[in-house]
Amino acid sequence: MNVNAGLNPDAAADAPDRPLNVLASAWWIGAFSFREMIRRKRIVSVGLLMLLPVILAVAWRTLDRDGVISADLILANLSGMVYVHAMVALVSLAFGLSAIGETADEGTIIYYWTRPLSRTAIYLGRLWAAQTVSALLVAGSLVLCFLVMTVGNFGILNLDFLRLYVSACLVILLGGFVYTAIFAAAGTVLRRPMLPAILYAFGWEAISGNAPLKLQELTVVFHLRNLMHNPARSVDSMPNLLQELRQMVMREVPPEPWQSLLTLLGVIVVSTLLGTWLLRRKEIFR
Amino acid sequence: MSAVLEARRVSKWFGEVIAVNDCSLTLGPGVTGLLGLNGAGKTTLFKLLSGLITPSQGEVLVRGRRLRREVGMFRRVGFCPESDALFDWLTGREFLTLMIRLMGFDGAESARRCDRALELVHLAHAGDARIGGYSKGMRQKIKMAQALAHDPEIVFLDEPLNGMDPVSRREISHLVKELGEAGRCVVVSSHILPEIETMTRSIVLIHRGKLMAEGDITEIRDAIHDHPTIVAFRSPEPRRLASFLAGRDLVLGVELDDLGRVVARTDHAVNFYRELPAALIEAGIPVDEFQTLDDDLQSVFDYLVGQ
Repeated sequence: MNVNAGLNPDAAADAPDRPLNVLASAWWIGAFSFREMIRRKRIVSVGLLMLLPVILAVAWRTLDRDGVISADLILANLSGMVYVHAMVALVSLAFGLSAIGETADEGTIIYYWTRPLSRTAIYLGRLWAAQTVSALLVAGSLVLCFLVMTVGNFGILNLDFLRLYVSACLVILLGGFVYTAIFAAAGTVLRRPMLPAILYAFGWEAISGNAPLKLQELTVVFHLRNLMHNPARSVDSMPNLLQELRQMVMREVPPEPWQSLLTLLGVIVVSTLLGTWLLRRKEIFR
Repeated sequence: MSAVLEARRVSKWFGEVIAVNDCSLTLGPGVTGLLGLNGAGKTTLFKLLSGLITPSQGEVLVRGRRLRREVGMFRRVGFCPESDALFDWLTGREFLTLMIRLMGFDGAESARRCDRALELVHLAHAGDARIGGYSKGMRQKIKMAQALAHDPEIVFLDEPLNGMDPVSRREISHLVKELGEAGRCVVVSSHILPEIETMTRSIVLIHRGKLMAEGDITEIRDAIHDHPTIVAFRSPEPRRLASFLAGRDLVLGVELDDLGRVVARTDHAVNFYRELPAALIEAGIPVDEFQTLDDDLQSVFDYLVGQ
């Protein structure tokens, strides 16, 4: 056996000593990581969880035969309360935290580490894969909800409903990207990120909804809801009434939707830059 | 020796614990065994050399350039990790192809190199099977294959013979030796000394974070002047030989072993070997053969770390 047979013995010496193109290698890593992530067992459990809004939609169809509650309101509540407050954070938690953290814990990251790949490419590839998996799960759930609400109930299909549905979908998917970016960065730096991430997603993000506006603006949920058209805001429910009153008293002016959009995009960019920087500093001891 | 891999006054500490303390070494083509007891700093030094961690102080250079800063230099490096983590859902061929593509080769070249690497580690028959179904030895081989497929100049092998059957051990030991002979700089880390000895006589010994010895095992052994060397002689006149040796200043003790050999201990091996042939001829004592019993790696290692 000759180790040089069939290989160019000078290949290593001749190879250019520059890293692979960042975007091209991120694409490779992303495509591979996507295949890896959809094979994880957790996709089944998270997928089942994503059926919760569908079950709520089925319940509405089953119980509200007389049409007491409008389809718009149900959709607004499903997207504003169920998806934005819980589902998006949950699915992002499952795939965002593990985007880098899991491959580092398992030790498979070493196979990326020892290639001529910049850490930025590795991070972007893994993040894109996690965001795509999260988005697909959320999108699947949203499509099922739409079908449950509309099949055999075509009367609700008007332009307003469709506009509300499309805008809700876009905002929910954007929320998924934001949360996944945040959790991926957290998973890169924290050894046990689950508890802090849960506290953030279901503690800080949830309780600060009742805080003064300036504090609410520090949450992702606030900006997502600010982007979302919500017919419930105009109805005279007690929480909305209190919020309106408080804003009047404290002369709080909520940001424009475009400001919220910019804020959320900024969170994605900053989280990604931070995560990339953290990954560059990360060391492997396995 | 042309420096392929160089560590300059490298230290690494974790909090207040110093894992590697001011180590400098230069490695060129050939196989080098990295040895050390558990907790000696061997793994940390190995990871420093292979660019997986950054030195707290000092620098590690590949062809004069920093691996950690210039990741493009990883084209020159092959790394076989100790960790058993692999992408179990892939076939061996898919895994290798991905690894080669990520080295920057195109599809056709990746496929060619994949086949070649599978042959190199004697795994061609299992290339299309899922890695999850591989035995421990096969997993080691596929890790070796991904480290060698792009024909690197420097190869890091962390416990490469772990879990292999005797036949595979022999094959891989032979392959490692061949890589060294072909001019690759191969660094092998192992805690099983006889394994290292099958691949190389060149070692780097780390103990308590410090570089304790570096070079050929025999040279290191010879440099240990104050440690007794044990030499066994075969002679048709063993008692006469024993009596002769016992009377010499350089000899600390003599005994006859179960194999009928005369075993002498000396604390000045170099002088002993220099003076003995002439003295034996002068005394007219016939000697059929003699051999040093403790210049194997285990003896040198035991002596050095046991000091």
